[in-house]
Amino acid sequence: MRSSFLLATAAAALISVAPTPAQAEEASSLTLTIAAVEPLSGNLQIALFKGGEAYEGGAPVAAHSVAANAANVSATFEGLAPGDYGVKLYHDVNGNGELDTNPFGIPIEPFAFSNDAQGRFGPAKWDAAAFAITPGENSHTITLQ
Amino acid sequence: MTDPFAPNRRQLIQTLGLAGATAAFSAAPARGVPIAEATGTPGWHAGYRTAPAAGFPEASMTPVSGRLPEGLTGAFFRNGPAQFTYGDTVAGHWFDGDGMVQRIWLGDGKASHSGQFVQTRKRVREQAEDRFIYPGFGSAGAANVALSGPDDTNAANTSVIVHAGKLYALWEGGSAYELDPVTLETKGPKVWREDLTGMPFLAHPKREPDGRLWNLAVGGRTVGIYRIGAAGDLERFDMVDIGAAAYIHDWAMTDRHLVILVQPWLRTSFGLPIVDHLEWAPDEGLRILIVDKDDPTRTRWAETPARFFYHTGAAWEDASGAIHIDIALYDKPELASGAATDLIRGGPVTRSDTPVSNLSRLVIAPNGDVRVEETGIDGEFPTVHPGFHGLARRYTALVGGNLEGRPGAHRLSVVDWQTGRASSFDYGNTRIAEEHLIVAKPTGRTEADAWVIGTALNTARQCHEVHVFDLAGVADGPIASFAADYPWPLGFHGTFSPA
Repeated sequence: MRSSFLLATAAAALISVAPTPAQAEEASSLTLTIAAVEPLSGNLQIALFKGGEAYEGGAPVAAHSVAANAANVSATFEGLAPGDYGVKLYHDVNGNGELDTNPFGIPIEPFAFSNDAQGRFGPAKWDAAAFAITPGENSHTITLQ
Repeated sequence: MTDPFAPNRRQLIQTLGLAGATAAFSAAPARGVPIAEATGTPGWHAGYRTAPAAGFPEASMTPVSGRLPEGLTGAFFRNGPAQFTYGDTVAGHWFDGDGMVQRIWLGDGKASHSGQFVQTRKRVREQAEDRFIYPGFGSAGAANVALSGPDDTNAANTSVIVHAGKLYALWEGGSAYELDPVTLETKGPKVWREDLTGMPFLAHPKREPDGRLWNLAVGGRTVGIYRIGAAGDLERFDMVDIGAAAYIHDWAMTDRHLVILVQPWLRTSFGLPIVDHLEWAPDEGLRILIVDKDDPTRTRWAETPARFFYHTGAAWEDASGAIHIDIALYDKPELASGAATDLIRGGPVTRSDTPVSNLSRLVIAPNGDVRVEETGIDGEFPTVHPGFHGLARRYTALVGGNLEGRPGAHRLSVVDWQTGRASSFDYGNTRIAEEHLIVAKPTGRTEADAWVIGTALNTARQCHEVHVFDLAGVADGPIASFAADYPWPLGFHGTFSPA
């Protein structure tokens, strides 16, 4: 296939937007586990979005950068309001703060979405990536490929 | 300069008409198409049936006639689609079958064959799930299948090259896949440089006689240029703007320039299968971008009325700076759809399903004027002597002709551009001729000191064959022929790697 599969992946958005603080009194938390991290270098840049509108192009409610120093790493998000969320993440292997792409815009560093959802010429759609956060503690695992 | 074909056209046609028929091939004129009894489909269908998933283990080929010439020793690799069905489901296009690399070893008077599928990511998943999943040139793929880049759909089925001792299976829109040159085991997608991971590597790299390799990365209006040293190292990678997202399968190279022919088969929208998003826009003409090899920022344009092509032979520059390109031209895009699935199904196929090209020479003057010299010779897969790629030369080999009721070429021709004559050999109605390559004789000093080698599917005996000709005596027929005990799927392009 010849076409430029372009840009797509979301990643640019997720690092350039400052997180919006969640309401402190909403007591939900999320422990996100990222599995199959490889190689063990750089950081995992993780953005958490609340609702489809934010996920498809708005600002994340929280963003974490976690050292990619083990095959399974986790990040905890506190003070979340219950609701439907989506995660976009990429593995910044060389730690340059960007999702590197080849000259045609195809990402050359690993990336993933909640539910291990996959996209078609771009980020996974909200319908595929959305998962529920309920009151109390929540956990979710994303496996890098 | 005069048109060499004008005075010699009659002679050329006579030469073609007289071609053929040596003892080994002087079968009676064919009547109808051979039927493969086992399947009930026509004999030619053996070239479009799915190959065994486990591949073909190495097996000796039987000498049929002649003797393998002294000094012709090496591996003749070929690539082509070889997975056409899963159950009752048929691939959306012949071009989309998973690639299988055939390896014909020639030496010591003998020939042997082996073949293996390229284990692309696409193939591994589709085999595991026993179904077609990914879209392609003419296949839609499963609904909403996830795609993160072109290599997800890479069929690695178009060509093959050996460079710096490494074997690569090539597609046009994704990475080259490296294979073991002896076992054909798949090693994985080739990364020429970390930041170029997943960049397309066109199926038509061009090698200078000194060993430097050039190729394009085609992915829309912007095209990448690879310059790879004889030792296999990427020397540089540049990007050029070709002005339009055109379908580009092949291009041309002289000793000083890269020539990118931007034909007006344009991607009008983004989506798959590719063929559904291409539009023929003849008003745009055939625009030609000429890029300086030493400084890719130095470019110039030429233009001529719209024509369509898949393949060039090669290009060279004369003393005036004019660029000569031999090219198989069509009036409009061919093989885009339709008959391509009939081939997989075993027919019906009519003569008109095999497109007729016109081997031509484009002469691009330094001022950008373009002259099209048509030979009237129909054929495809033009090839040249690798020792003269990019340089002034006389010969182009190609296969052509079409016959009622079957697909594929039946005639090998070697065109002599200096005399305007072609000498040809007719394989007849019971063989489908594939691409033939010009191979330098180890002791050869001139362009004519070469062999022409190629494969053919014997539709009557249901087996694949390899044939060797002397370039100077193509019309006399092969000087050595070997037959396998079985057929394998017809392919596109190959390469010969001398031992």
